[in-house]
Formats: sequence, C-alpha cells, structure tokens
Amino acid sequence: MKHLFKLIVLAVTIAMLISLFACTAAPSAPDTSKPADSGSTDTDADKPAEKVKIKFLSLSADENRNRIREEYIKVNVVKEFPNLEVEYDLGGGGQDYANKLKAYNASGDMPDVWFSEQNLSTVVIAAGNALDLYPYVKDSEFAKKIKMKELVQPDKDGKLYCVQPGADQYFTPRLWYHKDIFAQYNIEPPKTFDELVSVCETLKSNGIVPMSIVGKDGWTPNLHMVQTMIMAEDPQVAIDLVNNKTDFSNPVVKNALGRIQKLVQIGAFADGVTNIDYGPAIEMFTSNRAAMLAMFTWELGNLESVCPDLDFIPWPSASDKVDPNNVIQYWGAPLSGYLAAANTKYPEIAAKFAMFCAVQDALYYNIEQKAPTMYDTGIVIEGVSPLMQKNLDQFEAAAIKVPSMWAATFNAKMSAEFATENSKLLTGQYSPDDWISVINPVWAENFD
Amino acid sequence: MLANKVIQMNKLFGNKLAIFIFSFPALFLFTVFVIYPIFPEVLISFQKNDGFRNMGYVGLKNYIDVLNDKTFWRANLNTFTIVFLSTFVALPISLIFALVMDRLSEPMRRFFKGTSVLPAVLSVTVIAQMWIAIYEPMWGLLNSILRALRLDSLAVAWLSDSRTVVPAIAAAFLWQYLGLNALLFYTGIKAIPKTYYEAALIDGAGFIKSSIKITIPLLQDVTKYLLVLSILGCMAQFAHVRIMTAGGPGDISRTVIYHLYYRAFSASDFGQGCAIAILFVIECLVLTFLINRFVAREKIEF
Repeated sequence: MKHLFKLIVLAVTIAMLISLFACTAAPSAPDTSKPADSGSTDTDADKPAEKVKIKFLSLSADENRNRIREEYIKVNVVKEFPNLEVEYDLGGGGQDYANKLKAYNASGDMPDVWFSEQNLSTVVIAAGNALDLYPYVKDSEFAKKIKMKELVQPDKDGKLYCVQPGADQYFTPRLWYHKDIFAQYNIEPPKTFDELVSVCETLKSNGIVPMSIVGKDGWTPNLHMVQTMIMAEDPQVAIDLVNNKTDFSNPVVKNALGRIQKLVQIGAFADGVTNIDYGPAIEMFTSNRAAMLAMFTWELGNLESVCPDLDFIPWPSASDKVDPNNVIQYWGAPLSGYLAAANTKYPEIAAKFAMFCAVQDALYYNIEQKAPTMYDTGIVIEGVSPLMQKNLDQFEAAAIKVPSMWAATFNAKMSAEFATENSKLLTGQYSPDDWISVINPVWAENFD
Repeated sequence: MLANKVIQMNKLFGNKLAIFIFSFPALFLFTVFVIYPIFPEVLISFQKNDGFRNMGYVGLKNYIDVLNDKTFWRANLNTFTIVFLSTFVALPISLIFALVMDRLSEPMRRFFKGTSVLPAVLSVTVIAQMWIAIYEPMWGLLNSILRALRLDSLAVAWLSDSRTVVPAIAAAFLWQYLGLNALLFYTGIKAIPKTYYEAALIDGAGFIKSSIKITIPLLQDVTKYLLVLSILGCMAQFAHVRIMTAGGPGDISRTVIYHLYYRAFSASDFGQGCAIAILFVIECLVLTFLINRFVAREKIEF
C-alpha cells in the first residue's frame, strides 16, 4: 500500500512538472516583420520564413460573431496567411468582454488583434495601447474597396486605429414581431407609443410576453431603447446629445425614460427581465413565447431563418411631429471594429490580419445575411429576402439618420453608469428623476 | 538513543537561525505576493487613476466619495447579510448535518462524506447556472413548486426582485459549502474521546443533550476555524454575484468586492477602486480581531 502511495505521488509530481513546463511560454519567434513601406503593401511580411503566432480576442456571445470567427476567419486565414498561427481568445460578450479588454489594457499586454466597440476602443487608444493602422491601410487593397472613404481616413491626430467592414452603418434597431401571433389576437402593428402600450396590454392579458428585450446589464435600453424613445418624441434631442449640445436633464429625455418605465409597469417585458441575457431574449422570441423583440437588424438573417412569420415595424412615435419611417438610428461608429496592439511583435502582420478580419465580416454579411457593407467584396447580393429589402428601403428612405449615442459618444465610465441606471429603470421602481440625477454628472465628464 | 535525538531536534528547532531559514521561503513569497501589492494600492487610492494613468493626487477625495456613495453602503449591507446568513443559518445547519452524520451507519456515513464535498469542488459557474435555472421566474424549479402548491403569490422573480435577490444569491453560495463545513465539523466530532459520551449515556443524556453539553463546547476550535474561514469567504463574495446577477438589478445585489471590481474595471476608476480595497482590508482585519478576541478564547484540552 505504501509503495502504491509513493508511486502515485511520484506520478502526480511528474505530471505536474510536465504541465508546468508545458504551460511555460516557449521562446517567441524572432521578429521577422519589417517596418511598413508606406508606398506599398506588397511586402513579404505575410509570408515569413517561420510560423508567426498572434493572439486574436473576439466576442463570443452572439451568433454572428461566432459564425464570422468559425466559418470565415478560421477557414480563410489558412489560405490567406499560411505561415500565421492564430490563438483565438474568446472573450464572451457585454460587460464580460469589456472587462476582459480593460484588464488587458491595464496590464499593457494586449492581444495582437481584437474587436471592440467605440467606447472600449477609446480607452485603449487613450492608454497608447492601439497601433496606428494608417501606414498599413492607406495604400492597401482594403482601403481601395471601402466605399465610404471616411472609414479609412485618419483622425484629427493623423492616425487611424480601427478598420471595419462598414456593416454597422446599416444596423438599426427594429421592433420585430410575429405576424401569426398578431393575427391570432386581431392586433394591428402599433404606429404610436400609446398603441404600443395597448398592444402590450392585449398580449399580456392573453398570457403572451409582449416584448422580449435583453435586460441583463440594461443591454437593450443601453444600446438603443433610451435613444429610440428620445427619437420617438424629438430626434433633434438625440442629435444634440450625440454632439454634446444638450444633457440628460432635457425634458424629452425624462419623457423617454418615463415611457420605458411605463412599459415595465404594464408588464410589457418578461418577468425577471433584468436578468435576461442576449441568447435567452432571442430564444424567447423565436420560440413564440414573446410576440415582439427589440433588437438590431444584425439578427435579421438569423431571425428570418427560424421565424417564417417574421416582420418588423419602425419604432412607434410618441409625437405627431415624428414620422417613424423618416427617422432612423444607426449603429456605426468610427472606432467600432478591429484594432491591433501598439506593442505587437508583428505590427504589419497584425494590421493585415485586422484588415483581413474586416473583410471576413463583410463576406459574412454579404453572403450569409445578404446585407450590404461599405467594403466592396465584389459579391452581388442576390436573392435578398423581401424583409431585408423592406428594411433596406426604409433605411435608405429615412431622412433623419442619427448615430448611436452608446456606440459613438460614451466613454467607459459613462457606459458603465448608463448600464447600471438602465438596469434599475427596468425594475419599474426607479424614477426618471433619480436616473437623470445620477447620469447627468457623469455625462458632464464624458467629453473630458 | 531516541531521547537524545529528540533533544537534538528540540535544539535545532529552538535555534533562531533555523527558524528563520525554514520560514523564510514562505514569508518571502507571502511578502512579495500579498503584502507588497498593498503599498501601490494605497498610493493609487490617493490618485485620480484610470488603471493605466495617474492623473494627479487628489488627497482623500476618493475615500470621501466612497464613504458618501450609497452603493458602497448597500454593498456593505449585502455583504454583511451574507455573513450573517452564513454564521447564523448555514454553519448551524452544517453542524446539525455533522451531528447526524456521526450517528449514521458506516455505509450511509461513507456515502454522505463522499457526496458532501461534491458541490464545493464543482465550478462556481456550474453552481451559479444551476441556481439561475432554479430561480427562473417562469419555468424554474422553485416557482414551479410554489405554483403546484397554489402559492402563486410567493412565486417571484427571485434574481430581479430587490427584496429577494441577495438572500437568493446567499442561498446558492452557502449551499455550496454546507457539506464541506459539515465534514470539517465531523472531523472535530471524531476527535472527541468516546468516554465522555459513555459517561453521559450512563447519566441518562440523550443525543440532543450530549450534543449540547459535550459535542458543541468541545468543537470550539473547529467552530472558530470555520467561523473565520466562512466569514472571510463571505466577505470576499464575488463570483456568484458576477454570474447570477452581475450585481443587478442596477447595483442592488453588489457586494463590496463586486463594487470594487465595478468601480475599477467597469467605470475605469482605479482610484476609488483602490480606496474601496483599502477600506475592505480594514473591515476584514477588524472582523478577524473581533473573532480572535471574543470567540473561543480559552483553550480546552481533552
């Protein structure tokens, strides 16, 4: 027995030592990349003599990001960069992803390439941890194929930190609904906020969850619902907020928050909404347990594939002066996309990989979602579904297009406090006045 | 011969140099990884700092802001609620389990000894997800049982209701360690000489009386150890909150450590985050002092 015990201890010790050595980082490959030739992108940096390893941090909590990574990036990187080995770091989504990226940022040890939204990108750039991509992008094929040239132009400081496919500019929040459920209860799609309240009450009384939203961390109000409710009454206030010409004490904001509170109080959202995550919110709608879903158009393709009775309405207005078809909120922000680390060992390869990822995004949206992008993949989008066409037509026809406050203007602190307050708002027991009294001082420092 | 060896060993371990040599590696690592990081933290707590930039010294402003922050006090209340539930509900339950385990037949005892550590070795993520499913308002186990018992009025959104969210998280956290604590109590019970129970039995004491008069008083060292472990474990509660509610709705279920994390990493305010950390260290030191001062001061030998 003693011998057996000794043997086991010895085996465990050897196993632990082997694991320890195995987990120790191997000496890095020498830096084979050369500084970028500003006049040409046809260097041999993407064909180094030795395998180069880079780390790529990606969102992993939503279907689109997962499919882009698994079906496009992972598949095509082998053909495009045969000597590149990519370590995929799956960062989850929402606040988890934000906190992981901030932890990397605080340590200064960034992944070589990562995806981030504007509010996170600004934090990394402020810390000097993002690579200026402009020398690599300016004469590249990628830049030539971007239709909206602002996306590949440097900022005021002469630097370009982010590359993107320009799909975001077409994303807009919609109120999706099941035509069959509406028909079953003789409900007409609402055009005004009062009609929306009435529809929710009818659905609720019939045991259907009226509207599915992502309530965890206040996700839906954060990303669009607060702004949507502001725009429903006066789009100019949203434009002024984006341009820092007004603050949240504006009466239109208070009314907008009151409308969200009203929806909570009439039971428009599912029980326990503050704890409902992205996946369960979508599933609640696709499984017909909810009649409506507040979500961006980036889910259109996925929703269409599982909900044959899918349709959408522009967000109902809360004022006679606002035509819901004429006003649209879009997601795109200049710093939402792929960034590379300033201290990467392989800056040129990282820059090229970032551009490659942006192209894969475009391919995914063009092929799988049949959605347009600002990057011209050369793919003629055919067989666009009637619903996608309706979405694009309404998007193009809208005269007032307002960028997302969350995506385009909020810094990290503002995003965090906004999320906390919106989560409280979803309890239905938190007043718009309290919300404003907390948010306004944070907003005052947002542009510092 | 043996006596000589014992004398030699005593001499060796009584030698101050030997004590220093033996304790140095552990003390060195403890100093480098535990004591040293506190100093930069104290420094940052006096700065306006976003985690990678010192934007100037602000004196005591971070401490004043933290102490004037309602959320900090709510987080303290939540943390101490969990500590209270752990001390006055979970530990007594573990003790009862241990007392019952001591009276079980050998096969049953072996079964419970094996299974009682299972929740403690499972990942927090697994436990938290399981409890999220149990608390799910529409189809979760808890509300389904309540509805089946016609207690619909009690079927609430456990993790979204400000009245229930903290006890609900505490239940999940404390449940995970009930078995492990019971096992530690049980090892204490096994160390008590059987002769005491035999004498008590002759005097006519039953299970309850001998437990109250003999077992519990003689378990004071184990109880003290578990009390310290449990209280400090509850004070440092983070993972269950992060996974189950992310501190929500809003900031309602934040614990002190979660609030620290939120301020430092979510709001990028490392100055306030470090101030909270320093205040938290002080709280823990005070608690440990109080336990050492008032719990099981007299050593009982048997």
